[in-house]
Amino acid sequence: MKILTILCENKEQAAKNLSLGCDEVILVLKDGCFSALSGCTVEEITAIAKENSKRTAVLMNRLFGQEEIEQAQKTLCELLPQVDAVLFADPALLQQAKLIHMEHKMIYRPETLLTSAKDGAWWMAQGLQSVQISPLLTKEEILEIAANVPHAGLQIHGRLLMSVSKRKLLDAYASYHAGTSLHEKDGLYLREDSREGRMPVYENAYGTMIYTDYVQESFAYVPEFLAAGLERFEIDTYTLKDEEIRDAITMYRALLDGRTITDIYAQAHADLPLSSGYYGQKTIK
Amino acid sequence: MKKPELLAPAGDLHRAKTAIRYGADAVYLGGQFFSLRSRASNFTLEDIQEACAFAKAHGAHIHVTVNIIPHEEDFTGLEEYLKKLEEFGVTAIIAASPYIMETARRVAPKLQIHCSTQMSVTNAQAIHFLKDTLDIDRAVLGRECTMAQVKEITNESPVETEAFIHGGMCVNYSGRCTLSNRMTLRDANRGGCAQSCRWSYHVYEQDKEIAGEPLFTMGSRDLCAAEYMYPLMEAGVSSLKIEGRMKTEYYVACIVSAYRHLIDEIAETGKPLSAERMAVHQKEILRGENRETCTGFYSGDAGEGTLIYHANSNADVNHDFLGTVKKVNDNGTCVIETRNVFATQEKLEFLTPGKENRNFVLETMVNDKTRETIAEIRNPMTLVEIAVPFEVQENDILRRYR
Repeated sequence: MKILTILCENKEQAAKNLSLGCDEVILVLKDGCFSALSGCTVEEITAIAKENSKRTAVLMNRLFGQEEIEQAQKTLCELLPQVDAVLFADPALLQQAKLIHMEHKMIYRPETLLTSAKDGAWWMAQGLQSVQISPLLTKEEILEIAANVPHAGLQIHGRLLMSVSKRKLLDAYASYHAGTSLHEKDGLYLREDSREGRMPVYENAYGTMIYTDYVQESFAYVPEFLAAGLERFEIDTYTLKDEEIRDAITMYRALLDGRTITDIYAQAHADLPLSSGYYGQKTIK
Repeated sequence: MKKPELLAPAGDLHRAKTAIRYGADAVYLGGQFFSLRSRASNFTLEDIQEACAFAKAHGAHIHVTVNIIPHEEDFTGLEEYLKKLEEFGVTAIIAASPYIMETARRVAPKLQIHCSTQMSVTNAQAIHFLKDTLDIDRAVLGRECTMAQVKEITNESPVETEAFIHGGMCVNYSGRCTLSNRMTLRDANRGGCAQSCRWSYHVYEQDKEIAGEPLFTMGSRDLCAAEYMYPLMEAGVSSLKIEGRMKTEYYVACIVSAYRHLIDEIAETGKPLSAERMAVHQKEILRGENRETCTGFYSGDAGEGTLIYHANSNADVNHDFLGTVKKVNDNGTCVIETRNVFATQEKLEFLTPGKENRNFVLETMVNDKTRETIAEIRNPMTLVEIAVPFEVQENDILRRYR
């Protein structure tokens, strides 16, 4: 199985992305995610899933506080029968899914923590549908995991979420300068004092999220990933324009279907700071 | 009131012994492999063995961090390493990788498994999952937990809980931050964190820079939970943890000693301390702390007051540590190995394990090698003989009185 999947904020986006060639949409759950994308309610997700002839998944990757977890588990129980998968980071959600025997719909997506086949295999042994590999790995490391952990996934395109703080860092800074609030404000970027790259930053009720200054792309790598056994290929749409999303879907679809692509994404979208990230560059200790 | 474990950091064997001497019930340290903080002077196997022997002789315990988020090649030698730790008498490993925890349970069953804060545990249900699947013995709570959450989680947890009480704080969820990876290629989850969160950043709205000096930073004040010690103890938290495997011997001695006295006093009285007593303890704690402090999330939202937008203002700490006692003579003098500048007629004080601090005015000083009388010490690691009007012991710390 191969699944081209994409994060979506609403019904219109979901329909459009499916029509362009995605196999699955991942709907961002309002109040349940670490994502700068705006989310859908449970009712909206349920309605979209009913109409969707392809797969519907839900992003619910927040770490929940003690007073929130009961409600989060209730929400999970409402969602699981309606959708094909829930992507989670908080083990408490898997604990709940096991209680209702729906762990086979759970996908472990902890951003950075899945960095080896051994840990991937452990999570899969819990009965999960899939695990998402950390984007901090080299091509060889990803291939190793893909070959040894069935059904694994990877974010192949879009900005990578670099950090999440529970603190309202932007609001604190604005307050320090007695400036206007920066809370829930779109279009904000950080630039490290001695570097050029601009990193999208967004703050909401659940904290502050910083994304990479580059847009991950994987066009040259997808055929190898696919051959190694990688199953889920995810696109994050945050900060991407419609045509950038459209072309990404079209080209990855072609690659996953075994076709050769002749168009060059980087030429069509010369303004995008594209990068193959860590595929060719191993981090050091 | 039951006393929780006071858990102290150590970057090398000397600091491990210092922590235990000054009252730590347990010390956590990292080996040369499988541990974060790769730039700490990590322990060889022989060091770990010696630390275990020293701890056992003093009724203390050793916990070893095996908390790397491992890549494939990082597992080499894991089983042998875990077996060695068990053989040496290590009490627990602190781990974040399920495979490492599972392997420990299989090959070294006497080792307790403590789930690292890298897993960002913020609710009791997550602990139930980790207990059911990995049979963990303890969960280290995420530093994002409020006091109310710590209390409720501990109440509902199927295993012991451990909470941070002092030291540096990751501003982002631990284990999920890749700022260092991006800025320096140093992997924060494999011990290479460059602390890029503490750097300066310009903020733009589209193309227009907003705010300005001081630039945006995520640099957090250090945690100091002294005023939350009673609630933490009342909540039944089993272990109270001090951060700082990269910190100095002086930091370890000061902070451990101060929290030892604080915990003991609360346990003895069974009540929250008066404002006056708390102020005494807080003053002691801050003598060892070179960053400004805050109470983190214990008091609720960690807002503007928990961040540092300006230059460090507590540099005194770096000048306070004057030396350690290397030898005690019969004639009321002792030999100090110096670390900082000081002079006769200054008021100094000794930090002695298990005792109240004692101060005195330094009257005379003799170079231990040349026997020359001197008025001022300018070079570190000089051996000087000083007269002390009370009894001191080897390894006591001499510092400036404030």
